[in-house]
Amino acid sequence: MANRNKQAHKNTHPEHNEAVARGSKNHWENSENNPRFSTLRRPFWTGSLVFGLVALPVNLYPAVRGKQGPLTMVDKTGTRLQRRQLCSAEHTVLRPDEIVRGYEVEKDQFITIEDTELEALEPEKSTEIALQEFVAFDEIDPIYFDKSYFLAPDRKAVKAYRLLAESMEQENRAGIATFVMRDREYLVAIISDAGLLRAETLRFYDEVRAPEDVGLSGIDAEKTSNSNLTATPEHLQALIDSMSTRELDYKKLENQKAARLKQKAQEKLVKNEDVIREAPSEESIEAEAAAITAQEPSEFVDLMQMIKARIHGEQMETAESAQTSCPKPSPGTKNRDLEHTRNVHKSEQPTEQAGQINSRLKQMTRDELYEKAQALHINGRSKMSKEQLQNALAEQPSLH
Amino acid sequence: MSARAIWKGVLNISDLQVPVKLYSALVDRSVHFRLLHRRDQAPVQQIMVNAKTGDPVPFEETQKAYQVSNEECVILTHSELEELGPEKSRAIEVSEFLPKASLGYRWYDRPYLLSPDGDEPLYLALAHALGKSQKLGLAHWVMRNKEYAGALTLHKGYPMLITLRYAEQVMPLSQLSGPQGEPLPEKERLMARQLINMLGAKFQPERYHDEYRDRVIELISKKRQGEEIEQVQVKQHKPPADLNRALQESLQRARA
Repeated sequence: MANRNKQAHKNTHPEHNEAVARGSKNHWENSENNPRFSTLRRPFWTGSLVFGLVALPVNLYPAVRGKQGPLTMVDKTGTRLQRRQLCSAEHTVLRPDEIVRGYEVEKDQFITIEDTELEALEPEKSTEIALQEFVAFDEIDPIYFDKSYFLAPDRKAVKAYRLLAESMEQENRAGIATFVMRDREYLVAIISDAGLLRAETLRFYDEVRAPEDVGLSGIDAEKTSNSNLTATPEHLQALIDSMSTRELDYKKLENQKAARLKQKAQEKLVKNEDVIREAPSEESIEAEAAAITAQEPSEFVDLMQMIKARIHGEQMETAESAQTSCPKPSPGTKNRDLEHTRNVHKSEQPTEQAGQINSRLKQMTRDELYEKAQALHINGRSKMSKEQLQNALAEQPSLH
Repeated sequence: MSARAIWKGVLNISDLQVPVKLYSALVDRSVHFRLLHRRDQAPVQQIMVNAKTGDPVPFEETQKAYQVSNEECVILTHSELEELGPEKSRAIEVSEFLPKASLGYRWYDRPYLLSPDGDEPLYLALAHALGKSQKLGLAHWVMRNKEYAGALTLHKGYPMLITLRYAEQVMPLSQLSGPQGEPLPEKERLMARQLINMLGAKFQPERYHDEYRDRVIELISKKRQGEEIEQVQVKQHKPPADLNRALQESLQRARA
């Protein structure tokens, strides 16, 4: 892991300060409080980053995720519920392939639009992030920032990637481009930090409200010199100075409501109040799994592990070799994940056929599978069926 | 055209109270689609179904639960949830001021423009002071029954609140770094930096437009009129075989 402090970089760079403030008090432990960052196995977007005549194939993975409440919805008996789509005319539950996008041209009259038609609209922009210009990062007003993604290079493009990352960081500039990702166009700033490129999507100019639009330009600036002021700018400045701190305590950005909900649930659990217990039979778990959509746990991998594997161009090793070389983590170790990854060596065992691995996994009970999943810190394991655990274990990437 | 305020609050900065109105700073320009059933083009409705049986469950019969483990959950009743909910308040508590560099942009979620709600001179004094200090305030407030943390900063000289993501939403970067390798050739490093410099510019967001949105509207209009939709081939990009050459040619092009 590159030593971030060695970078010849101004300390005005937010990510460095964050790394220091946050890294030392790691709230990112593998606990139920802070669910691990997971992402879909496939990249969010695949294409090329174009810099002059240099094109480098990259994959984008989300670096931030949406808000997810800690509560699940259940019915009267405590059985978990799932979200589904219902046909409003026939009142039947629909599969994803039975659903199409429509645009209402007149009341109740729709034109259907296929994914392939949308994908064909801007074929170049859908596969390229062509950097047009490079701006000083500080010039970008924070109001424009939307979402954040990591760029992982294709194995053959590592040299070009490193070159671009290093040059952009040294020049302290961000590359600006527009591109199309998942049926939407984005203005994007490509930022380099610690050798890693990130895509920060920006809002378009017409998507941001101007101060005039909320009546702000009408304010009379002369009023600041009014002697009846409750407080003068100087007073306020002194106040700001007195309330200044150097570093953000990231604890202040934790989800307080989620913590309260958890506490209340635990209090009720102890008193055995409103607790619903289900016998963990194979059938009930499998049935539950069958109703789960593609977005559920077995499709997710730990983002951290995957990014590391992708960025450092490593092969995904088989479950067998990964399992035998993983020591059990010692309890109570902070940053268990990192220590765990450092202890694993690339296996010297020959790569086995996927079929053989699966048959071995198939012979294990759910409890045994769960134990393995626990040792490998597979996210979402407590909600996985036996089959999902088998799949997840069979596809574990190597840890370096 | 003036937008309407979505909420009114009071910035509490120590003993100081600055009443403000909040406006969403975002304008939705996207083309809105509806999900339809392919067969009859009937619009689709969201429902909750029993995960085991697949049977729909009416909303009145649904409950919220905290999943303690795979087999155990604790039901939290409506009244309990209400009690646990945040208290209604107009207060926007500003607890401290931080250097701008202490918070990366990945934490920023939604922006709200602030206008004065009665005390204009005080509002302006705050704007001036924020501008001079080059700091941002850390604020917490409750709006529409949700708790928010936000950064109090300026946009074009006017106070703005940008809500912040929760710690659990933002990937910590300290554990990640870029790919390693042999030291890069000096010549190529120089060329890359030169190219970046040549393409250096001021950030002018007004120069960029969402063209895709226009194409979507065009597509809809064509389909409405029953026109043919042409398929376009996409060319594949390969990484440069000769990075050095590619950089040189890029520089030549940029100079021209």
